Amino acid sequence: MNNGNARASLIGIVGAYLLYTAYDLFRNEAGADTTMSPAVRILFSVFFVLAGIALLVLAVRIWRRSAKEEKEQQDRDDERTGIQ
Amino acid sequence: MTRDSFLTVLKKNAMLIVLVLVYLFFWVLTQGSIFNPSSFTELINQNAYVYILGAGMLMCMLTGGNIDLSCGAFVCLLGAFGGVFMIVNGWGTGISIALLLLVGVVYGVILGFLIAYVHIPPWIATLAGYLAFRGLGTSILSANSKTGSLAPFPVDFQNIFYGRIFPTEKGVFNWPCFLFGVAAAAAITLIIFMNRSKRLSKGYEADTIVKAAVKSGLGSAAVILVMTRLAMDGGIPTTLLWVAGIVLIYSFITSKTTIGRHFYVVGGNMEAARLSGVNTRRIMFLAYLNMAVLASIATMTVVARSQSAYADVGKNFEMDAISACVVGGVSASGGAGTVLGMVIGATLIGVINLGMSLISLDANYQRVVKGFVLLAAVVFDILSKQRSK
Amino acid sequence: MGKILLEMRNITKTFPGVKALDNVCFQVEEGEIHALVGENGAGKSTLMNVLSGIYPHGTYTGDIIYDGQVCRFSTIKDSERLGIVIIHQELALVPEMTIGENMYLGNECGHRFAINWNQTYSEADKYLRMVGLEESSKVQVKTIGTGKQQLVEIAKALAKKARLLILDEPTSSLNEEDSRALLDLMLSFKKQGMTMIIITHKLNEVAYVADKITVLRDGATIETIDNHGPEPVSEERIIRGMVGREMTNRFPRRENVPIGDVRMEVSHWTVHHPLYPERKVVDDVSMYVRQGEVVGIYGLMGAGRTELAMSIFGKSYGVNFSGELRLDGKPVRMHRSEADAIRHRIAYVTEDRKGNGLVLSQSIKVNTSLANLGAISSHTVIDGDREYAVAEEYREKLKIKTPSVEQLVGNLSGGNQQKVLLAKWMFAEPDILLLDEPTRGIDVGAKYEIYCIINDLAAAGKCVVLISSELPEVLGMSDRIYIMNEARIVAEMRAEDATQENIMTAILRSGREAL
Repeated sequence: MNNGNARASLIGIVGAYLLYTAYDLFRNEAGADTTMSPAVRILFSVFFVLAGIALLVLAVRIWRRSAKEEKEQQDRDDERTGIQ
Repeated sequence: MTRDSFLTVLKKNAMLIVLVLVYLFFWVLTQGSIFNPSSFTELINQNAYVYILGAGMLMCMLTGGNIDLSCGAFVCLLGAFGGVFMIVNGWGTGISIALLLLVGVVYGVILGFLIAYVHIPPWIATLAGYLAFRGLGTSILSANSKTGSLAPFPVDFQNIFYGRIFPTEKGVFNWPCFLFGVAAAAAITLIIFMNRSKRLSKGYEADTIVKAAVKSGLGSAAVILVMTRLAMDGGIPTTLLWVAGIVLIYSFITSKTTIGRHFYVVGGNMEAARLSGVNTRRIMFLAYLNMAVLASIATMTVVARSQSAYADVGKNFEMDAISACVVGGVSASGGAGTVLGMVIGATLIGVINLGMSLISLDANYQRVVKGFVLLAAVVFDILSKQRSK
Repeated sequence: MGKILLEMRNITKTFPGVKALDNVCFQVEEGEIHALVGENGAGKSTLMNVLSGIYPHGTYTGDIIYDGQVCRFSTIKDSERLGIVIIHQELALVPEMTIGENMYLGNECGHRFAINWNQTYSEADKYLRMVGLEESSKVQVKTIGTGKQQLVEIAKALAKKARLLILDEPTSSLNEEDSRALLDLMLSFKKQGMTMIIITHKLNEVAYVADKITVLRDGATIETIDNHGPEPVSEERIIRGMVGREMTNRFPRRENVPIGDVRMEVSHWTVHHPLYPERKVVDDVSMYVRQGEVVGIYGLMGAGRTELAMSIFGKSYGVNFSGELRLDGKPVRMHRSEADAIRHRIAYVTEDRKGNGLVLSQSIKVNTSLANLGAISSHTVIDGDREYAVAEEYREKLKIKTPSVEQLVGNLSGGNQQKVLLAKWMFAEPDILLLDEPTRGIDVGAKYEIYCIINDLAAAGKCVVLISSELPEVLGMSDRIYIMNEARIVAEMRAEDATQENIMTAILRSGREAL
């Protein structure tokens, strides 16, 4: 069960990107002549904020879990070589 | 077939089915203009960079879900260099291309070294490029031009990366293009059937005649269709050759070479790979060196198409490449994914992008759709990892 | 004959396509320790899951009669209420919470909305003392070692007022010291009247604590052996019941293999720990292996055997190496490269096949060729057909049970995975094989097959170094035995001269602390 870090960073990047999407929507990056009503824009923006945060949280969890597994493996190795 | 391989096969074919459905969906929405010859050209030219960068991103992701966040900004920087070489200094096209590739190699070596031998996590190492390169490129551009962009690039440069082979007038049926398609279709059919008979002669399982016929039939039909449409739009776009060449090369590397195999096992279990004699650090190094070189090639196609180097070039490229891979079934934890998958993913995203711009969909909606597609792909990847546990 | 506390009568349980339990009959007397043994897949855990209510009434046929009453459990809580508590192989503790919180999870003292923590903790401490732990129940679980966590699980069971304690492979993640302590704890509980069922594949433990031994095979009860005789039941006797055939030799006999010259020798080999460079993990070791020989290396945990093997194998573990390595008499400067070691015809078969031995997400075929891709490729292009053929060849040779070599290794059983790992290293065509715990966690039948493979390797003229912590295995398979303790080699003896006693004596004498 390796590569938790890389997987976490990929999911985290996507999460960050979704937040960036939300931000652009919020700021109405598209300009004044957009066909999307402000209400819909804000709605999508909020949706992407939530999705982005969810992914970031998941990424942190995965990262933590792989760090813990690594530590456990290290502890097990230490135990094996006689360092308790 | 085990559960995991079934899921993967389903996923690969599912993406193909989704691709066809989405294409038909846009056919209706655009009242057929997505089937115009010019749309095919546009699809290839507009998306060339996704295929090229996607191949590089695939190799990085195979090693364990690692990515390159800097490729978009690097394209901007390299574009600025190209502008300086060819437009400001007026150097020859050949020399400039060689120099640009050299810069790519240098960046790749440095990046690969930092990641593989100094053990800097890839996302941090490439984040530095993401943050720094665009600013650097912009400064170079404004230092050399009043408008902040450099244009036009020399004609022969554009012809190499954005021209057509045996061009004809649009609307005139371009025979070389069509024949190229027929030849490709014939090659596909031949390969499928030859493989099949070779396997049968050795006593292994092979596809039934029906399955082989269906596969080659569909493949040939698709190729001939595409080439026929392109034939009405002036001929084989050079970008198609670049993309096809890169796709074929990397397909071969990942499926048939020892180095390709090394990439898969490093991603599958790095420690096991190491203890089996695989030089894992060299593989990581090569992944990023490779990415930088491919980014150089991508730069040239992009810059040739836009006929200029400007500050916003390359925006979002890294996310497009990552999306193409994730949508195409490349696993975020590494060790799984194919070039074909990435191609389907990239094409799907390309069709969506093209369709949206053909119906002049509002830019905000386009952002929303792009976000959704990426979110859906990541969620799918997460869920399939859960299920296989 | 004591009072029967538990009787499971004609229990049959089917899963789609497979009958896991077939009219199993099982009786446990009050106050006894009853061992449940059998190969992997024999049905031991399934039977206990039926008993504890994990498989509720209705999903099986037959009766559970406990304390004279027929029981119909629908949840675990139902069985726990009667004092039947099961402790699973995987620890079910939350590392971030304290011992006390874990022990009383869902069971707290006080009212629903006002947990009386003082009472909880003092009750918890009481049970901790009963299992011999001195820690306070206020410390977090993650701060104590696995051995102690296992004891916390037992304390948790006691807190649930267990009368019938079921332990599923309780010593699987414990070292020898902790295992022994746990078994002694069980014996002390027995004196206090607790009834226990232990599922284990470690037959020496069974012989040590069990009063009765029930053997399951393929979901059926084969026999129940009484261990009350003057001599504890022999492992051979138990194995015979488990495997269903007479295993006259648990270890296959080796025809007189001529032992040739010394092919590998290390002198004054010293290696330091990668993270704590002052610590020596291998201390001035000198050993050699000859052609056609099986050399066993025995030692307790932490002795440094794996470190020795890995450091020889391309310096893949450790820092600050000193000493000399000679292959075929010539000194060799090994670089920090596993590929280099493979080129020198050395193979290291890891003890952790899932962790760093095999790529579980890839097929048997891919795993088999991994250490020697050069042999199935020309100019870096892989010959898929040759690769397939090689994998098939090893599948037959090693009797790997799988429908196809395209099967993912992650889906295989432990024994078959170990065979794939061996296949990989055999395909690398080494002269010297360093086998690190090659039969760990594998059932008896597969073990025997691997022993045969080892003998074949020796007969073919290879040098085999067999690292093992199973004394019978080392005694039964080796020509010569090195004994390691605390990073040093403390004794070397020929197999004929070696006995359990003098091996243990050698270790005890060398130990710096009194054991």
